[in-house]
Amino acid sequence: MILCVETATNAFGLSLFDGRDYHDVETVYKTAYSQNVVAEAKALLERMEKSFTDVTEAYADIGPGSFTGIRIGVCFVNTLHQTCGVPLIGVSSLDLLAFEAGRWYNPVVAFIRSRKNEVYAAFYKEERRVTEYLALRKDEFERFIKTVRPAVLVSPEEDFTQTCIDTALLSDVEVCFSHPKSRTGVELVRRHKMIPQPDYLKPLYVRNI
Amino acid sequence: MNILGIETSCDETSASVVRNGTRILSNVVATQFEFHERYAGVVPEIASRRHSEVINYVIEEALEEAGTGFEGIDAVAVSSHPGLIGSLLVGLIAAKTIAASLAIPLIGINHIEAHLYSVHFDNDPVYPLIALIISGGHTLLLRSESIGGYEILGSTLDDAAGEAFDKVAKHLGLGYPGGPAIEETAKKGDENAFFFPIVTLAGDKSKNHPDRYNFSYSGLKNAVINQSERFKTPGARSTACDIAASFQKAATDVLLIKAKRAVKDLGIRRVAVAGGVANNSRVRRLFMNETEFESYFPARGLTQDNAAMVAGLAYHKHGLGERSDLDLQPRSRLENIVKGKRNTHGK
Repeated sequence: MILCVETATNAFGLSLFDGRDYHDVETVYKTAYSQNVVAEAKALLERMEKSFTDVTEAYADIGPGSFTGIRIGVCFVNTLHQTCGVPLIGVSSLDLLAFEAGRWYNPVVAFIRSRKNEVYAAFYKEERRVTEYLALRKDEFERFIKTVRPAVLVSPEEDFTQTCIDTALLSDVEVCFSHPKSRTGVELVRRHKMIPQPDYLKPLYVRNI
Repeated sequence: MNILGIETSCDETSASVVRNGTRILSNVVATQFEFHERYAGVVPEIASRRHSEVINYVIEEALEEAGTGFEGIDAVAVSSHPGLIGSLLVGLIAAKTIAASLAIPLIGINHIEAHLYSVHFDNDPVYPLIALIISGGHTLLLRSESIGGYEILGSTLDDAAGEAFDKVAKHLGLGYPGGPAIEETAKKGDENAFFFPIVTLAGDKSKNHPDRYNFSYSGLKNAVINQSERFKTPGARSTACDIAASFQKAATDVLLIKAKRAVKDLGIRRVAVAGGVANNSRVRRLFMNETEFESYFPARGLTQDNAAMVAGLAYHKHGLGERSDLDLQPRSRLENIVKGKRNTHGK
């Protein structure tokens, strides 16, 4: 039984994969809802007549994204690793966005709005990330997308996406409005054959305080 | 009964195993001083990041030192309020996950009640008592009828006592945290070199004054930082040591004045003093030498934020049948707790 939690944005998600089917908590679009992750996970397991000891692997979104949200997801799976010995895999929020969009489009820029009118962004080709995870101001981000010329921009930030496209004069860019999803985490790990890490997960902080 | 306590309300990450509320099997505290030193105060985001990085290692160490492993833990307790929300959340998520995955009870603990409980490890306090909780985040005068219950008599209107120590220490270039730095520097100074104001807010005879039991440290802090020369005793020297000693005198004398006022008004001749500033030797001397009341202090290692006080208090809460649900949320504010009723404290 694989458990995957998504807490990097205000779209909370939690999925269980039993090797054949997905069992999900319906995505909750609410700030700070990730604080309920333990209760939600327990309730979902109980609905399947399972317990935490039935979890064989746990995946969490390590960011970039909401600092508090990421810490909640990471702390949850890390402690599950500590109590039940569950192997852990961390996945990036931007990788999740790009993976979902990249099934149909190449190349892809995935981004998530940060504080201070900045964005976290990365550029992908053929489902692989080809840049570092970046923290960019709006003008830097506009230059970035002009330079890499993606076929698609994927982000949870609908208004910001369109503004950037207008400013950067990339009328041929397709916009994909999405948010990182827990179910996609399971698919990304399986598709890329990611292996559990031996220690606790660490949040991915692209920008220092 | 072994209880695992977790404390992350501010800038100390701590885990502890306490047996039957009294025997501390382990008490691991990871401090963050070096990360906040350049700011001379706690930066909430830095605190949360550090908690998140070390919490599981601290729990591991506490269990190993106690020799219990998770198998020997009967319940998990965690500070849930008051405190920095981002910091509290790390401890709460860890505690909830332990409780849910091991199917053991979860007990949310009031951080202030836990500080008050810290005197129980080395004393056998008699209730009711007056309590003074003095730290970097709180300056509270309480009346407590029993373990886990209190009424707030007064609090600081601005800076906490420990916060004033930090800010004055920063001004004098003494480093962080300010409490130990000021105390060490003050040893070489003359506490009468400056006559800094002792801010009582209300005179001893003003029985109904709303600030009768309240504190204020911002005026004293500003006097030290901006107007030291104005308060200089004629003919005295003017060194950092003298300023530190004179500040320490003014900052701690007011604690005794307010405690004595509560003792006299309420007719309760017992005072418990806890929190980081209770480590200050001058505070201990002042209160221990007092003849109008009996004083209770925690051991020096239990004055700062620690999880032993959380686990110890939880044993009594557990005995009263108190349990928390997995939807336990952190709260930044403090509440009055009087005989089971809760009122949000107005400050």
